Amino acid sequence: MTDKMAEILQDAIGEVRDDFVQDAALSVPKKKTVWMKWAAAAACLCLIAVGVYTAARPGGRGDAPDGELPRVTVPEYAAGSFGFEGLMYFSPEELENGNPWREDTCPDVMPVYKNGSWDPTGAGVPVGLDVQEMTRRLERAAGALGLELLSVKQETDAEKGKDGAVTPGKNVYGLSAETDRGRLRVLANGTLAYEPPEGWALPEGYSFTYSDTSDAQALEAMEYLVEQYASLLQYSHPQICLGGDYTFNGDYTRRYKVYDSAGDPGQDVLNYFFRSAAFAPDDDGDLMLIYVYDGLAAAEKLGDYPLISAAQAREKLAEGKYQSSVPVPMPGVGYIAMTELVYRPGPGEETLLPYYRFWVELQDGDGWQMNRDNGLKTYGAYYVPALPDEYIANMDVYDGHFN
Amino acid sequence: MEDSRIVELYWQRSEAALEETERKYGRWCFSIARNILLDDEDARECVNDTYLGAWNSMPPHRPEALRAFLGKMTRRICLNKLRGRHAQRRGGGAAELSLDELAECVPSGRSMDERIGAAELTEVINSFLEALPADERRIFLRRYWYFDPVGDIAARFGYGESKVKMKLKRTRDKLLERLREEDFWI
Repeated sequence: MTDKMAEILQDAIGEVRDDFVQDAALSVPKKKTVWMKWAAAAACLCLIAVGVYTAARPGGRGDAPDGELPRVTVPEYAAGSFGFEGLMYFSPEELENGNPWREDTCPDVMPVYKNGSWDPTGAGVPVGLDVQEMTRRLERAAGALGLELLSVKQETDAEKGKDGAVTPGKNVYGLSAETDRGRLRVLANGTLAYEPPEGWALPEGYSFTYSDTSDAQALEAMEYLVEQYASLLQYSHPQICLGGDYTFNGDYTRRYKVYDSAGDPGQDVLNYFFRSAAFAPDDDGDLMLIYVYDGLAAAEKLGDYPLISAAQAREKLAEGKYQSSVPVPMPGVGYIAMTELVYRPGPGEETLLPYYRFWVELQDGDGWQMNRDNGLKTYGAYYVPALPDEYIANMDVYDGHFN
Repeated sequence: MEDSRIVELYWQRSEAALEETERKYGRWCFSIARNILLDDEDARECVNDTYLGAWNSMPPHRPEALRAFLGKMTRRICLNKLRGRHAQRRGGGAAELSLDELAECVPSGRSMDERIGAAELTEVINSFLEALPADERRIFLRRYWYFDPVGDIAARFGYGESKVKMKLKRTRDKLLERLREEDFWI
């Protein structure tokens, strides 16, 4: 009898809240901080020197190199606990993803933000904007699309009372509106989603699919959609980014993305990662969903920080000073296929800072087949913070343990 | 690939959904299965059953947290398989040992009030877990959700094994008390 009851308990524990399950998965093993021991020692010496200097300078802050910018704590790389970040292509040229960053026009400084949409539970629940701001965004989007709002519902965590009744929780994470032409949704992390009723058909002649559309057709379809939804996007210089990646058997899956090109290299990078839109087709090649992202909606700027060069970041990569989720050893800088300056938007990052992301061609090993028989190669992502060491408070290095 | 896109692939009935699931979550599901079944072949079989279960459940489901959705499915499949084995009381694996430990939360000679549903029990456990300090909750779930051996938990949190066992015992005692307060046992 006791065994049966214990099994019932065991099963009930299995169905607990997703955020508890994921939070427990995030409790990763103590990681190596070998390189930070060196950097920390060096930083201590710098701090001592800076401390002596700033003590004599009124208004100076002893805990930051230049007295104004706070040290940044590099977030733990969440993807390392759940899967590995890798893409498959037949050639490195296909890694091109529309990121506007170029090494020869790299800015000297880029901003770092405190992420107001960071969800410490790891469950990915949208946070950041309050109901008033979400309502304003919802109404603006409805006006831009010429939609009539028929009903608006607050999306909250649900709570269940002892009597079994489900009641709304306290946390409003989104607003969901039924309109006369589809569903409109605004989330507290700044994301807006519009779902036309039963798919919105493009005119005959356009091809808009994930897998059966050529590059030229995809560009044509996106140009049409961006123009149709210009009032929603409000981009002065929309820059379309087409790309995708392959599945194991060589089928290509497209992305349809657009961002507002400001004409400034640094701002373009920010817009590419935080202020962009994505269009999603359905099975019939009709428009199923539009996502408009505003990843800095609830962010607080900490300052403009100087950047190290890509070459300096490559040296750190070679020395093992990186974050990655790849489960095989980094094969060497000779296998770097592409370098880009990136941010990691989303609820898993407490601080939004620039990184150099290196796409490295992986080799077979440890039970992983990285080079497929059909010619596809696997490229793994490696991240090196783009800030000088003296601006970094702490960073753990992935030790290769896979959950 | 983002979870939302993988879910869309399921809804489109594209087999790429299964490939992307295996690539992103295959190792994770396998680690859960391996902890429960202690056998690579059985674990792989259950992970494959998970993929089939995912295919059959999306649509209509559109999980917000795909990782947890798949992990729960793997765990259920593996526990059912383990209990179906007549050798359940042998082996000494973490799943079996954790069952013995959870039995402490059941008062001797008592059974659960049949009027209480599984969902209600889970909600009480959710409420119980929410009130725990984060560290205690994580240790509890690493043992009784993920079936980590005590030694692995100790290494993960930087504690000695004795400390982990003590923490687990205290949490189980608290759970027993909470379930008594809810009048679950008759």
